[in-house]
Amino acid sequence: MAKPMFARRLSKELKDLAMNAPAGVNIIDANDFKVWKLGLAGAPGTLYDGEKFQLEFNFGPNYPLESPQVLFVGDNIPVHPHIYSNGHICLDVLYNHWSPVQTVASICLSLQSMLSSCTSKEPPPDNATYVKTARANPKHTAWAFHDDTV
Amino acid sequence: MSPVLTLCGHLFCWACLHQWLEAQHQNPTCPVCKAGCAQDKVIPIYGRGKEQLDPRSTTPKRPAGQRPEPFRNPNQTGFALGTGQVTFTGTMLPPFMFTPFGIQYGATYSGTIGGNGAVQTPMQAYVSRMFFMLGTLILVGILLY
Ligand SMILES: [Zn+2]
Ligand SMILES: [Zn+2]
Repeated sequence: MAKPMFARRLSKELKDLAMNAPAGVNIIDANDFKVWKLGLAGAPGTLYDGEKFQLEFNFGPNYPLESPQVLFVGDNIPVHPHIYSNGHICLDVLYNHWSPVQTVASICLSLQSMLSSCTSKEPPPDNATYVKTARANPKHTAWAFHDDTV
Repeated sequence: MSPVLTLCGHLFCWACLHQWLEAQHQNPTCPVCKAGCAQDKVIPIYGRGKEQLDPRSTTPKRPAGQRPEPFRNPNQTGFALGTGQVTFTGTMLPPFMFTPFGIQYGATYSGTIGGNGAVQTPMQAYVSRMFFMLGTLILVGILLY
């Protein structure tokens, strides 16, 4: 039996990431095809310059037909209008705008550009209520996407 | 491996594209550009070599290519004026002679063909005049000899 699709796809992505990761992105832990941990560095010249963040990717057996579960973890969660203090990220490509052409690397790039375009480090306005009520998996949240310009 | 092309111009392996289209069956879209992408509108790409069969029996048959009739211009001599239905009977003139008269018919029929024949670009008008003069010359030639 051939390798399942998610395994084939993730081994290819891992190879690409190891050889040619986007700037500011590094693999912390990718020992299986279930959970990966990646480091994301705030881009120079932005509000997050010098900060280090950790991202956790959870892949289901239907990856890449279904999006991975992506969230910030660790003790430094970016303070950003689209990132909740529990690490949940309000980014449409992670949920209803997902497409199998997205990759771990492209998600990292989207997140980096989301951080880089931020003009004021503030939590989402509904952070307190959201964090209290949200389930652990951000994919269970019914996201209403804010505008992408922030 | 069974390459297919979507109408929006994106190339995929059929096994992968099919899985994606099935996964979002209510509203199938192209994975790259999100254009609408019905499974029966996908175009298979054939190489010159022998078609290789996909061993995975779960993979459904790739859609067949479509075979539209080749386009034929009803007005062989060029500058179609949308009067393709107008036919001429009882004439012994050679086919290229239809053209100048075709224009005249086109003008009189223009009311019934949605104004299509009535609108002429300067270029078309020029070409029409040219052909009309040419036609008249040949007609005169035939009559004289
Ligand atoms: Zn494929
Ligand atoms: Zn497309």
